[in-house]
Order: sequence, then structure tokens, then C-alpha cells
Amino acid sequence: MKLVAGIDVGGTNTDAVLVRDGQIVAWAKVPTTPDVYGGIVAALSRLPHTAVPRRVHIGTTAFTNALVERRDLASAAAIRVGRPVSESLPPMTGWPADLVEAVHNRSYFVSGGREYDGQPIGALDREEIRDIARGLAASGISQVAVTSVFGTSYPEDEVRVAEWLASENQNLQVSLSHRIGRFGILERENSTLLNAMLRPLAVRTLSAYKAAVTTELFISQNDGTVMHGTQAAEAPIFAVASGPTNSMRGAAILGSAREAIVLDVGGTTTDAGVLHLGYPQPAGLELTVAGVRTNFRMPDLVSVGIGGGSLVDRANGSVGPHSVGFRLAERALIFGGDTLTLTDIAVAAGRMDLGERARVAHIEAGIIARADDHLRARFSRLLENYERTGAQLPIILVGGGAPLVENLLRDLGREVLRPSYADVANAYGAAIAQVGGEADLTFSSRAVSRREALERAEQEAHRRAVEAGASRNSIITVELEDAAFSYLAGDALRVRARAVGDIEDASQ
Amino acid sequence: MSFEIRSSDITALALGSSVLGCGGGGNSYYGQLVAHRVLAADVVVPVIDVDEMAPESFAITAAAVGAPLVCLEKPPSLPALQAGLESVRSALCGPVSAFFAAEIGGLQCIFPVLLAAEVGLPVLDGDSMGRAFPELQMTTFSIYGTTHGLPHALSGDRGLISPDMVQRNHSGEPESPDDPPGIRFERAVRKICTAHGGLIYFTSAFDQKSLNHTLVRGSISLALCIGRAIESARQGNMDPIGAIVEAGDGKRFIGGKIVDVERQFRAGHDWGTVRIHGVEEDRGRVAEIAFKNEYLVLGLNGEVVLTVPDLITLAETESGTPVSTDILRPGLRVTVLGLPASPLLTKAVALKSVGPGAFGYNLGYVPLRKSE
Repeated sequence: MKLVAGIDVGGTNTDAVLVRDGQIVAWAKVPTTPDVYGGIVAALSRLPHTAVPRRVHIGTTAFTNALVERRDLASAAAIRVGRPVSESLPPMTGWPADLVEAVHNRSYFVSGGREYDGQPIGALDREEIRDIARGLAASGISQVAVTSVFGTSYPEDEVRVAEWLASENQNLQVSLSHRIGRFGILERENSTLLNAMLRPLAVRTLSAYKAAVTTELFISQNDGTVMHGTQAAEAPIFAVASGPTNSMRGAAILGSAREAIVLDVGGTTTDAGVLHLGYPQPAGLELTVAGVRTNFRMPDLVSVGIGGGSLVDRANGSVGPHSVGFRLAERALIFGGDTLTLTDIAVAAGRMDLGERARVAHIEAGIIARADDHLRARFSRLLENYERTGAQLPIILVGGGAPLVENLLRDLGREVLRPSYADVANAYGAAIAQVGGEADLTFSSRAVSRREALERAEQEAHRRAVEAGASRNSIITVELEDAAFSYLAGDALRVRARAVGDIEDASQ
Repeated sequence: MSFEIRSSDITALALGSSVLGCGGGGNSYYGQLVAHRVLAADVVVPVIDVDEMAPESFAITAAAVGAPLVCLEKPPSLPALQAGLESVRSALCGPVSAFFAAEIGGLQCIFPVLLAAEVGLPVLDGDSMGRAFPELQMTTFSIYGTTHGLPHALSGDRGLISPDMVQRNHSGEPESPDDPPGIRFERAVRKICTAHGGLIYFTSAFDQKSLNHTLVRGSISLALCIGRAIESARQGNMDPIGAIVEAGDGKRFIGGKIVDVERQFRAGHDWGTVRIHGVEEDRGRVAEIAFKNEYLVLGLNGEVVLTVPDLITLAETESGTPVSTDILRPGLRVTVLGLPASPLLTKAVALKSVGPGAFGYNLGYVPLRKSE
């Protein structure tokens, strides 16, 4: 039977789980070390030695942190293909000034690119590309991001530019926008540039991971799937912001529910999100990474100020948003502190066994009842947002504060799932992740029917999933959406498809 | 009363204008970024009332014609706007004294600001819709017959589009006596746009006298006022929906969540219906809104309570962020608002072009407020 290890390298702890056929067989929690490597090695060494995982999946914040802290970033050159189109909006427009200063990127506009219907805007000019390659060689810049107008639908120009750059200067590493981002030229170029800036760090980080784990390595991506370690060295940007997705995916499988609301009750807040087909529903808005707008999408999470450390008002029973946070162990009544927290209420009501119960024996039933009323009203409002016509979704309750609210949710008549191992949902989410492929294409309605367009995008997503390592017969389509280019006399369609599948293990 | 637009006002202007966009008008994010660049280094654009224009002078409007989706790959082009401006200016017999927006709703309100900043002239506090509409004949100018005889130009990223092309496409269309004024021109421009990469710019000039009686006045200040109200409500943890209602002299109809979106693409437009179930105080109520790029007809529990040309707009309940028709999806928490249309749009002659009938609905105009 296949064993897979999932590792979540968090800011505080590094969690590891060992999973066989979807079941957790062992887990470990150790402090994260500054070099990351030490924590991973320590976590893996706590797992039983008799069971060697076939693959290790790592969820990491290394690349997010590098971008946020503006460190370990390489200078990159942005080449925009499609002159004169988009010249009024040059690369890096809207970026935070300190990031622009920190990286010393360069920008070039070159001829080429396509219109929505595939007509060339201009012809590619090999000499133009050659001059750029030579200039970059002289300046010592080795990272290039190539973004072509309508490049997601017509990637040929980007591919050609990459070939020409490589033939001129073999030290250049080229990131192509159609492999990184979606429709929307600036966000796609932003993602591609950030990717280029991260690549040297990614190579170093991946080789550290490979030193720590001896088996095949996969890295978590922000869409809930994993990519092979070698791909992660080329596309580190996909690893950014994978944490929330992993934790919701983990909750989905641990709770055995594909359509559900996930409530993660922490010390200060409760994060709520909704699962559809086992994947978190994405937020409508674009994800900003280190102040730069990309067109990746994060799970649609709503955060409310209810957690184990939330202050409780004795008079009216209101809970939060202020919290004692990580100082619960000093300030909560049950630990000898002077602050009435939601944890104290739970202990007083006998829902939780923690600290010294005698210290909260004096809390009157009235205070508990008022806090309960308050929470019931808050949760009922929160949950109402996720109701679909006629059906109530079950709730998967995870996080350290789960016992605080479980009975209240049941009072509301809700089905509550409290999976085991909810504490390591994030590492578990990494372990069970599949691989995927995405396509974001445009079609002219004169040439292709809507059904055919949808089919072609779906096929392309499946093809890319196979390329990412999916076994063919396990692939399913998880997203398929189209939008028309309204206001045009001859219609055109944009179709986006995403497919996922199980990892095809080499020795199967 | 005159005032100035600075770089720091662009976000509020865009936010307010997308409320007035009624779900359409295009995504203005790239336009805002270009505006921030043009208005950098303390460039300011004065905003004046049409009465402040010199009587013999002209004001120029520039608008994008085409697919909002194309704008995401082909951002607003300053050279295209300048090419249109140069062509129109050279054909005028008097001076240009200002720029103005054809459409306050959405992306279009940015273009006159870009030109005004580059040329160093003011923008007029007004537009030709007071909202967003999908087609060129739906402007107050077309409705009141002021389009004829003045120069116009079409341009694209690569410069001016030959006037011959406009003529050729113009004359080929049969016209029925029932067509609203300007519809032939709309069709011609739409065809040229489709052949030119799906996005072109339309520039035209109007004299002060025509503007005086056809401009929807105060729309720039209204957009700014609504945008600032949303921003300050957010900062002060106040209700952004209430802020929009107050700033826009509007009415809140229902707060709820989207349960269903049906859409189909017909003849180049995005048609559909969005269904919203009320929550909290509106529990048990159901809203149904028909849209064609913009929200057109609002039904509440089966009864039509508001129609075009009045403004039907959706905002995210929590943030007050306007919700355009292209991002509608089940689960989104929204509030439905109505704002009154300009009186220029609600006269009988105007309703022929912009009332429910102009969009194919067999309905009379249902206004926000009964006329006195």
C-alpha cells in the first residue's frame, strides 16, 4: 500500500502526517527551525521508521515570506510582446515602491502578440530579442518573464521569444506568462515576474528539501493540488498562499464531506469557508501577493472575531472581537488570570476540561446563557450566508477551539462533523493532494460552437493534468466556466477549465 | 462649482462610477492605474460646470467601444486617445475648452480625465448617460439629436482608423422608421470594432450650446461623492450600503444572497437573470433582476418595482463594493439598490431609446419615485 507523507511548514510548527489510503497512520508536531530543513528532518524522524513514504508533499511559506520580506529575490527582466498595445500600462505598474526598488527589474516592449481573434498585432522581430538577450548578458540579469498580449490563447509568440533568448544566451531562465497566469495581462505578467524573481531561491529551497527527504518530492499549490519538485523549481509562484487551501482540503477529506461549511475555530478568530466538490469555493477577488496583484484566487474565507481567547462581556454576553490571543495561558480565569474568556465559559459549562475548573465555579448560569445566546445569533447569521436553496450544508468543525462552539451549532439544528486529527488538517491536506491542470482559452464563436469550445478547454486542462503527473483514468474536471466577449458583433468566448487527478506513481 | 481631481481621488471616482455603472461599464482597474501614472507628480485636473465653458468653444468626449474582456489584455491606450483627439481637433472651427465623459458608469469616466491631464484642460462635471448603457444611441446626445454635423474619429492602439471605413459600414445598413436615432451609427461602429481587435476609441466634439441642454449634469461630483462615502464608511466601520443610499439619494430594496444566475450570450451581449433570496430583515423576500450587460428590471416577490432608465445596482453587503454582471455567482452576499435616473432620460422621447421597451421588455417605465 502506498504511503505518503504530508508536511506543513508553518511559522510556529512543522507538522508531519503519514497517510496510507487516505488514513492517517502517524503524525508529529515539532517547532519550525529557521533553516526549515531541521524542522522537516525532525518531524519526519518522529514518524515510524518502518514505514517509508513513497512521496513527500510539502506545504511551504518560504516563497510568500521572501516576497513579503523582500529578501532573496532576483532581478528579472519583463518582456511585453505586443507593442504598441499596452504601452500605457508598463510592467510593474501599481507595485509597492519598496519592492520595485529592492529588485531592480527591467522592462522591454517588443513587437508581436495577438488580437482576441488570433490576428497578429505585429510581427516578432528576432533582432529585437537578440539585442535584449545581449543586453541582459552584459548586465548579469538571468531571469526573464515573457508576457504576450492574448498569450493565454495564443502562446506561440511567448514560446518563440523564449527559444530565441535561449539560443542567444544560455544562462537566461525564462518564465512564460501562459504557463503561470490567467487572462488579464497585468496580473498575469505580475505573477510571471514574481515567479522569475523567486526562481533562484526556489532552486536552493528545493535542493534543501530534497536533502531532507529521500523520496519523491511534491510541493503544495494555492489551488489545492501539488506539483512535482522539479516543476516547483521552475514555478515557485504556485506555492504561494497554499496554506488556507490545504487546511480546507484536509478538513473536507477528514470530515468525509465534499459539500460542507468548514469552521476553523482558533484563539482569536473563526475562519469560515465553503467546500464545493471537495474544493474551497474561491473568492471573487484577485489575490494580492506582497502588495502585487495577481490573478490567482484564494479560498473565500470569512473571518469573525470568535475564538478561545475572545473576551466575554459579563453584562450582555457579547463575545470578541478582542482576544487575549496567545496569552490565554496567563490571562484566562482557569489559568489564574483576571480576564473572562470564551474558554472560561466553556469550562464553566462543562464543555471542556482545561485549567482549574474551580476558578470558574462562581460564573452564574445567566452569564453562560447570555454568551450562548450571543454566539447562537452570530453563528446563525454567519451560516445563513452559506445556505443554498432548500438545503443546509453540514459543518466540519476544526481547530483548537472546536469544543467551544460544537454544542451551540447542534442547538441550531446543524449537522456537525468533528473529524479526528483536525489539528493537522493542513499537513493532511498536503498529503492527500492530487495533481491538476488548468486552461484559460479564448475562441471565436464564428469558428467554434460553445460546446466545442468548452470541450477543447476541458481537454487541454486534462492534457496539462497528465503532464503534471496525473493518472489518466482518475482525472475529473472540477471547474468549467465560460464568459462571452460582450459588446462585439461577432461573438467570442473565454473558457476556463481546471481538472485534477491522482498522482501516477512511477512503479505502479 | 468647480473643484479638482487629483491622483488621490481616482480610487473614489472609480468606486462611485462603478456604482453608477449598474453592473456594466467595464472593469476600471487598468484605467485607474493609467490615471495614477498620468496624474503623478501633482498634476491636477480642474472640474467645471458646462456653464463655465466659453460660449464659442467645444468640449471633447472620448470613449472606448468594445468588449470589456478585451480591455483586460489591451489596457487603455493614451496614444489611441491622442490620435482621436488630434483628428477631431483639426476639424473644429473653434477652440477646445474641456473634455467630458460619454458614460459616467465604469471605465469610461477615466478617459476624459486622462486627456484633460495630458492636454492641461478641465473636465466637465457631467456625462451623456448619468449611468452606463450598452450602446451609442443610448446617450442624451443621440436622444436629443445633437450628434449630427460634428466631427468624430475612431482610433485604436495603432492610431486613427480611416474615416472611409466608417462611411462604408454606415451606409450599408437598412434603417427602419421605428429605429431609435443613432442606431445605424452604433451598428457601423460595432462592426469596425469587431474587425479591429475588439476595442476601439470613439472621439467626438460638441459645442457648448448643445451640451447646455443635453449634458447630464453633476455626474462626476456624484460619482466622487458616492465613492468617498463608501471609503469613509469602511474606514469608520459604518454601513457602506447606507452610505451609498444617502450619497446617491437612492433606495435600498433588499439584502440577501445570490441563489441562482442564468445567463446566455446573444447577439454580442450578455443576457441573464439573477435571483436573490433575502436574509435577516429581508428573509422570505425574493428579488429577480434581468440584465443585458447592465441590470435592467428589478422584480420583488414577482412584482416589477424598478426599471431602466433608473439605476439598479448591486453592492457587496459587507464592503459596499459594486458587483458587476460578469462576476455574479451563487453565494455572493449582496444588497440591491435603486438610484433615480436623470430627468433627461425619463421624458417620453428618451424612454423610446432607454426605457424597458428599448431592451425588448414589454413593460412601462417603473420609476424609483412617482413624479410629482
